[in-house]
Amino acid sequence: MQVKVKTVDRASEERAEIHAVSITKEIRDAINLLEHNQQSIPVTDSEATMLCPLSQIYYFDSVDNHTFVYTKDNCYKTKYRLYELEAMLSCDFFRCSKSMIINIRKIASVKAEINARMRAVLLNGEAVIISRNYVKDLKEKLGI
Amino acid sequence: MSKARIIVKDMMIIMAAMIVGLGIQETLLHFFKGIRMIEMPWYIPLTIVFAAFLCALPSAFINDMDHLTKEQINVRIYLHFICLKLVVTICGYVFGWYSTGLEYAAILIVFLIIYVSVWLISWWFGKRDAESINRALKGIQDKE
Repeated sequence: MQVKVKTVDRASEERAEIHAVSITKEIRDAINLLEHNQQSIPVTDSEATMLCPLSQIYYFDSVDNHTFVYTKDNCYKTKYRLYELEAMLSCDFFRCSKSMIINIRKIASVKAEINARMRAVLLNGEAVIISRNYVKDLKEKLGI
Repeated sequence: MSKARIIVKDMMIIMAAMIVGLGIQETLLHFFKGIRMIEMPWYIPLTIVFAAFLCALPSAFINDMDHLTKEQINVRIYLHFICLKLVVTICGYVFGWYSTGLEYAAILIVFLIIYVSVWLISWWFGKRDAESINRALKGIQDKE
């Protein structure tokens, strides 16, 4: 897809026009992002419920039927199950194991381990495992 | 991938590796002992298929190791190695692959080379994947 960007003088002149053969998930995500400025999901901590921007989320982890949301320094809970999040989230997120969805943009590097699995080091220094069954999905997301 | 497909896939790989191992063994015998023909009982090819199937069965307990620590993985791989060595030893004895201690040692050496090679090849493919993934990640990582 060709992308052209033209700067304008006034905010009232800002617009986006998409010409596409079909509305793919990626295009729909781009439309949502442009229309809603920033996608977010409701999360709770011990004190309150708030909206957490997806751009701040590092990964979702499912433990004992509870889904936890991890940002750079914090951990929250969300009511959504992993399969629901998979359907909702943009292509920046991918399922890296049975119990985890990770934000690709938060991965600093990956390292191959024995048994064809990978260890991903995130931008905040945490390490998560990418199951070997999901490595192919990551490569497809990255267009490799 | 279902366990049955994993076992069939591994069985094909092991059969190919055993035929390569046999070829290497006979090549060495040709150059060092001058043998010109391979003579074997009619059932030897079938024993390779049967032994490959038995060797593929333990793959079931090294398939799903993503939730294990490195130490636990190492223990499972060691047990997998012992199982396969037992299969090769017993099949070799029953099907007459070896008749002397020296021939048994030769078979074990070939088995060891094949076993280590399969893990090294798998690791090399993983390393290559990790390099291409890291290159692709550089372009989309968040700046934090």
